Amino acid sequence: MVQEIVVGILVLAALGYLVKKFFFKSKGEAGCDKCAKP
Amino acid sequence: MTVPTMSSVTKTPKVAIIGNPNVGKSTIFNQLTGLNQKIGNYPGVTVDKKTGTMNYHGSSYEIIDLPGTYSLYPNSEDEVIAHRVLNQLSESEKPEFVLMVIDSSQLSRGLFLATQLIDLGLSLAIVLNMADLATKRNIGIKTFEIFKALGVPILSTDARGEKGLDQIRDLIHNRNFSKKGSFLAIEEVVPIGLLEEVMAKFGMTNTYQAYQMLRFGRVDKIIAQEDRDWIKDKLEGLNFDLEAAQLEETKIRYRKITTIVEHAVLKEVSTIKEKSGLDSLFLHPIWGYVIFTAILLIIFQAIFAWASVPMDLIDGFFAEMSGKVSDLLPDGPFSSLIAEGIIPGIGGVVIFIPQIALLFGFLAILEDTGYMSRVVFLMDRWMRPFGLHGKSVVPLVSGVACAIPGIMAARNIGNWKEKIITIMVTPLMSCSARLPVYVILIGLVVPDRSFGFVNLQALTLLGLYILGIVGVLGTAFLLKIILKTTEKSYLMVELPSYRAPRWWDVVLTMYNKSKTFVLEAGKVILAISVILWVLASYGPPAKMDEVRAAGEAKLALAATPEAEEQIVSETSSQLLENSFVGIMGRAIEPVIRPLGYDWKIGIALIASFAAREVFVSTIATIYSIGGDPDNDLTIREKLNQQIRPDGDKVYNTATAFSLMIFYAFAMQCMSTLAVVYRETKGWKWPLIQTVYMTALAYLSALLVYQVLS
Repeated sequence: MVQEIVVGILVLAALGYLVKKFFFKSKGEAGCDKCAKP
Repeated sequence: MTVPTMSSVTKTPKVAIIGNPNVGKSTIFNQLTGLNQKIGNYPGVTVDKKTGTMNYHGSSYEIIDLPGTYSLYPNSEDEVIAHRVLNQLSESEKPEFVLMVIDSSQLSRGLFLATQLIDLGLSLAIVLNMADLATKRNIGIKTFEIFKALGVPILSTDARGEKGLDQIRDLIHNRNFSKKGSFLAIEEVVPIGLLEEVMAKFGMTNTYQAYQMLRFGRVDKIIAQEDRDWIKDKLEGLNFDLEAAQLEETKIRYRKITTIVEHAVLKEVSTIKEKSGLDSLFLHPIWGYVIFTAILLIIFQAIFAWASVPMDLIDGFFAEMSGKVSDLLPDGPFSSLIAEGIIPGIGGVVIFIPQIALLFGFLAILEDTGYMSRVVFLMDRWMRPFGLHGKSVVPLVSGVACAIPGIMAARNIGNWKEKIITIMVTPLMSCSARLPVYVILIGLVVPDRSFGFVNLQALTLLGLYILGIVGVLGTAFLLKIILKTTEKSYLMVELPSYRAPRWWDVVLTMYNKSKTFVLEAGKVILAISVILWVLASYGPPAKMDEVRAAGEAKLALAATPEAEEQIVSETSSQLLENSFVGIMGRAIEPVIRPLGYDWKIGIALIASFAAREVFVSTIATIYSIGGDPDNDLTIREKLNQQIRPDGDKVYNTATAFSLMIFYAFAMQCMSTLAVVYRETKGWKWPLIQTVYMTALAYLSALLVYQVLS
């Protein structure tokens, strides 16, 4: 049972990390306006 | 000399290193900070911000390595950064001291920026670097004359030869910087009334900073919209031509600098003679390309030959560790996760450190010796017909390491169409994340044989990189036809002097890049390995129980140990097939079957769409699940053992090449997509890129499999 709980926590941590990494970029990293030249 | 301010006494003083490109700023930065470096982003943009700590005589100093720039008139995003940092309105954000590095043999050009910094009222010291080159070119510099004219401390150094570095440390430690005040009175070209209004509005005390705000503030999105409108209204109201003012300022500045140089430089010999030596070979219309190709071949040969020994050791170590951990820990899901998920996952990251370090090491050498600029010049004529620019070579070559810095390097290209084309095709260059996939698969199906000094496996690897280049050129050509623009394009590239590489800098690059790979890619790989293990170990309970019960029933009837082993293996395979990941793999199997892939490879493909480097760790995890715990086979051995129902190997020549071609062209990197989104400010280009690359990958892999099988 303890092992299952540890695995569950690890999976949640891994999922949380991936979601944060790929879907929540900090706004401070927005591109420079010079690059959006039409 | 500047008296230490309160802020510099109570907190770590900030020293910014600035200068023209290729003057040795980074060499000085590396020498001063050693391993105490970190890389972040400048606020508002994705340009790397390199900062480090210099510890000297019990004190610490924060050193900032600013991107190279020729002036405070920014033309590219890199130059925007330097401009912003030095023009900060907030005193707490502004560097307290500025170290201006100048190439001793290009004094006028360096002094242009230096005098602008003086006019900005910064605490400045000048380092005349590359003193050895100046001596070699018979250029003597009377530093006292420059000091007399500018009033700021001057040091003469040869950072590569490690000469003069202690003087730089002493200069920083003693805060021996000087605020001269003014070199050129900007009021000569801009009405003082206008400057005073800007100073009052923004709380400035310096007229040149007010001029900079007038000139660039209205287009800089970091300035509040309201303030930008205010500047625009002021300029329109006065009908003042700022571009004419900039031209006038440049003329006056250069006139004054020419007078200084005439007094300070003893003798200047034409550099034409020196350039005709090595360049006549490296830029030769035929030999230039032959040498470039030979250099690439040597790099790939070395990546295979030199990296194989440590890679085999690492692979064996993790395989053994997996077996040992499995023996030591009590049975249970956590133990299985460690032995079958996490350890193979970490192994899948660590194993590629030798190759990645070597690749980045070679790239650093090419850059450091000055050869990379020659490649830009050499390739320009070949890039143009395909809608690319000579400067596209830098993003493309960087793309061999990683598409992300490559795409960010494209911001150096001024022409919009050429920049978009470069961004769109850079991910087709074979990046270091593809290297693990290529290496594993080539090792499986290409014999380790040599023709003369050329190894067949290295040649195959080179072929895959060339395939990436062909993909780049073909796609760029199509985009050139599709995209329309009226902008004109030109190439202006500086060919720096040839120098022997700084081996310590090369080692630092290898260390930093490997560390970034392990910490950044490694975290993603590890997280995906954990999730993958769970998805591969669990499935719909009813179905999994049914498979287990059937297995146990068969096991009870088994007559021999061999039969028992066979039943255990079959049951494990059926459990994986019915797990969540197995269900996903089987769902896409009809689509990937024509490419020669089974559902297990399908799982690796699904996982790879987040980041392609997880391919190896994914298959390592999949083939570890339910395997014999005492079995400590390496990844390659495990793959080699996989057999199809018809008796043929799963990883036969046709499938392996089809997979390599798929990985060569597919867009399998979410981080790259995020960077393309940031650089193009929208989802249009990343979406087009994903669709065209996936289609190209699928069709090419289909063709290769059908021809080879």
